[in-house]
Amino acid sequence: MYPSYAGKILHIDLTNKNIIIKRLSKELIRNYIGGKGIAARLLYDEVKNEVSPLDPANKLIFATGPATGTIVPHKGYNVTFKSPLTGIYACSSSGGFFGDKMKRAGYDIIVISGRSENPVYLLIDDDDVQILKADHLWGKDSFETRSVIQSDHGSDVEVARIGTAGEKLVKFASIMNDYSRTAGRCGAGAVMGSKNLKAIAVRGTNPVEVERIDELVEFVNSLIIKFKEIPSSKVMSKYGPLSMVDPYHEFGLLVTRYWHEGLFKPFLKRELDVDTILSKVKVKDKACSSCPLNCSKICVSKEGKYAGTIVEGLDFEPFMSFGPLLYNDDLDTIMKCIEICDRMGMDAISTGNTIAFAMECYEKGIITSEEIGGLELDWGNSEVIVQLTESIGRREGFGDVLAEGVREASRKISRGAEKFAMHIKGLELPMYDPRAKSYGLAIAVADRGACHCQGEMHVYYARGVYKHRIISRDSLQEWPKIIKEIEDLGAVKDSFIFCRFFRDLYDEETISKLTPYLMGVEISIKELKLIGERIINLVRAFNVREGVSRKDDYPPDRFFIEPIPEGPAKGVILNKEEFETALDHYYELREWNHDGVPRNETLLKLGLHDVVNDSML
Amino acid sequence: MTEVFIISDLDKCTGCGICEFACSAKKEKKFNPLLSCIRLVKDEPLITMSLSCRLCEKPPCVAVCPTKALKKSENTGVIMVKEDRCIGCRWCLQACPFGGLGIHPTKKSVFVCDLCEGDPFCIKLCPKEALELMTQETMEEKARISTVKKLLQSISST
Repeated sequence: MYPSYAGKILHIDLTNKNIIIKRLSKELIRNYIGGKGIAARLLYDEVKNEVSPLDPANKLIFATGPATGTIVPHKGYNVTFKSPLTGIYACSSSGGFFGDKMKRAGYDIIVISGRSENPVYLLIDDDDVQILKADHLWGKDSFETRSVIQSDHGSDVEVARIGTAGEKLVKFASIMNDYSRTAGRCGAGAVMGSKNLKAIAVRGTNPVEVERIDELVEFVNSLIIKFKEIPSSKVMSKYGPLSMVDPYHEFGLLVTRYWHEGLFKPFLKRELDVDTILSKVKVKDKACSSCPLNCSKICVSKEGKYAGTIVEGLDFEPFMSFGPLLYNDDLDTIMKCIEICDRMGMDAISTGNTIAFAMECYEKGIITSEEIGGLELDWGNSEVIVQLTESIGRREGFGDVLAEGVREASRKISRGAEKFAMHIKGLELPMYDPRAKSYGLAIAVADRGACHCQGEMHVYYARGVYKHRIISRDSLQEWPKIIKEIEDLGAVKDSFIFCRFFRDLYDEETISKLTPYLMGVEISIKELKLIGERIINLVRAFNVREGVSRKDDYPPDRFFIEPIPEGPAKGVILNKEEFETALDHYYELREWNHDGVPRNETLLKLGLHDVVNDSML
Repeated sequence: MTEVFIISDLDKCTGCGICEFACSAKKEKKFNPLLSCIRLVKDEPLITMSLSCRLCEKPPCVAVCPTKALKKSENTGVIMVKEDRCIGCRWCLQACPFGGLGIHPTKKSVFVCDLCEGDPFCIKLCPKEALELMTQETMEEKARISTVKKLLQSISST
């Protein structure tokens, strides 16, 4: 087996309580590396289009990569599944130490299938794997669940678990691990809940080995020393992802009032920038395993009704989602909502989005206060935001409708609500403005729906520079090629698994240089790119099998018809014709047909012969 | 010779565990926190810090060892292990208030931080400069300065 791998896949069928361990094949590793890649292959092979996301037949595939459990800065694991929110492919990743422990327990991959009759949790103690009763844990929130398991089995077990939102099948429920690291997007927690699986507790005592370890450690250390000196690393280390607030406010593209505005005036009035915000609440920096960046800022709310609330990640996405998106400038309730999401186990991005969608429907008179239990859903009504966040997690009252996500909720509400539901492929939008052209294209073509991480255009739009070259923000001409390049390399990074915040640490050359140490063979830059393309195409084929085509690769209409009303970005809007041309261009570069379907020769070139012959495609 | 020991700064430590990777890589040629002489301690969400042997003046591990396998070096102050004498009884683990020792999973004898001959690898690799090699004097001095700074800050802010 290749050096840094544990070499095993743990299969757990919860219906029959079957536990099988299989060897991880060299072929899978050479073609897909690990993480996202290998999991995508398993999902394509094992979850066909007749499987509904909440059926026992759906699989939840936890995957580590060759960097997991080593000093090479990495992200712990990702989890792959068919999403109950979008109905298509989904992969969500998380940091912390769970992934490291999973690998040290001896498993690169854990595949969960079936459905237990009663609530259970898994206890994986190296070779000893048990399916245990979880009646005492069912109904407990995410923090309590971890505490109880750690007090029963030792604080050296790490626990991936769902909160109550996952139990109640909230469509965007998350899986939490460590204190509050989150595999947040696309509803992995609902799939886990549908299997009656409350938690996976892991103790791993085995070492992870690599080739020429002293040399690798020196190499990594030299990379880290350089990486720490880069200005973007210093900013990330100091402020975390929240640092994006200031540049986007300067662009006049800070997502405000559900993408109607680009300036959040209450912040401007109070002169609230990221430095002021964090100086009010930050108490400590925290990092995931092996990370020199410590993007996580432990924050404690100091004033207001919810003073004392602690959140591990006062991160850009949740902050925006409960703040400017809802026209809410009350830091205390923003933090409370993030804490509720962590406690109940819900994706903060989707939760804030569904509330914003409801506020817009309320404003437009599509829903009235009487219909929704007397709630007054005015923009910025921070008390109602907290209440609604909790009722979504509990699926109570109107929260039950919103717990379906904006696409399904808008169908249920109907009366024209559909056009106010901001999503791509069913996934609610991250907290950047798709009118920023390159970003708008990137989230439209991302494989799991509206995802900012894959094309990373929120970063490169802000930088306006790619590989030392200035690229125009105002034209889409050069971006499709760049997006493809970033996506291909990104699929490789998600397979190793490298956090996307390490974008300036790992270029293709560095990744290739790491392969002999981690994998025992050198994988050339050319081959890495091919692997990236293979993964992207395989996932696209999975989505095509689920009915995805060109029609699904657009940002919501709002961004084509409603310009930014005022501020530095006044008048900024997406142009349909330009977008269509860019989409054509992107498909051409991908060698997909006009409808966004991979051509047979493209698949063959990537060695995906079986996909060409897939009768369901 | 002045004794030096490793101090972890509670404010600077982010809990990344790089010290554990560094130590186990150097000493055992593998990545495994369980083989590291310095160990990350977490009391979440607020506390992360690393702990290794404190080089106690009156080391309880040495005192309780029934086979006299442990000895405090007169030169450097580190705890030296005679592996052939150690029977792996774990008395020293029980006696150490800091969890500063471990039992090696294959050798079945005790292991403890030896300060890498005065140049600890964990300190070199810590990305946050949260680990420092200190003498009793530098540690005391640091405590005095930080207390005075805090006092001055509270005076100037009132």
